[in-house]
Amino acid sequence: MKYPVTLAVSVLAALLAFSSEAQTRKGDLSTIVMNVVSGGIADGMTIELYEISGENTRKITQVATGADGRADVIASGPLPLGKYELRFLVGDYLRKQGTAAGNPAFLDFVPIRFAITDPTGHYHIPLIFWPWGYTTYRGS
Amino acid sequence: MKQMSFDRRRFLHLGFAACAGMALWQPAKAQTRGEVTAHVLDAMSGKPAAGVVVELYDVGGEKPRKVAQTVTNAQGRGDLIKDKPVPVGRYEMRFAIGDYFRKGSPPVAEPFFDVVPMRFFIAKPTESYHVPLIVTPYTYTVHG
Repeated sequence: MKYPVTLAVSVLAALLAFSSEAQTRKGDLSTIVMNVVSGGIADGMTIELYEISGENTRKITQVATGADGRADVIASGPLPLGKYELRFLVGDYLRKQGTAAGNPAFLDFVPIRFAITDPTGHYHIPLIFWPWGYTTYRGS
Repeated sequence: MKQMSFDRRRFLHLGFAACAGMALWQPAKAQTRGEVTAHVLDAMSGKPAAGVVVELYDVGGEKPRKVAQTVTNAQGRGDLIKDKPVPVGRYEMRFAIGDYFRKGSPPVAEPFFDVVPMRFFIAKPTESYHVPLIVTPYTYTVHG
């Protein structure tokens, strides 16, 4: 009697552990956008996600950064494998702020190309920009 | 004697005219030149990135159209358009960074960034557009 109960508890615990592991490994794609000129985050910037196949592009989704400068582009996976381009509409954002450089502005949208190779991966791709350039990196 | 001074004056006038002509002609010549150049710095090694393929696309139309291609030299520099007017418009420079790091020493098996695109607007055909890229397999900075 004692052993089956222990076994049942162990199996249950293992199942719970497995399901919580699965829950934390669904895959996601997120970003944070920072404006070097203002010294703060960029609130309300539109970000588009395109799938890339040669010279063909297909829009997957569109989001906007929140008051904390963050945006979940794909909040919960599994993420489809493939080549992608994030487009940060920096030109529109700077025009709204009245700080665009040049007319038309030097930067329009900022494209960041990358590949998703793990459907349950955590992809965080921040953008730090100013009117003439930007920095990006694979974040954590 | 009078004749001599007239000749000298005429000679001086001609000289001034020639100088003025040259002064006017020089900037006129400079104004017909424009350029688009790239510079790649490998922040992993702290050295210029040589042998990086850099392409320039005109992205004003329906589909991107390649207008120039270069390979960076030992100093990490590459010229895409040199000594000629650059048509006003929207362009995309593409750096084949993934290929560079995969072939590097030591090779990087899975660089996160493969093609690094930089979009920018050329507003003045006679201006110099220099685009430096400072890059590692997992991060980069690019500016105009």
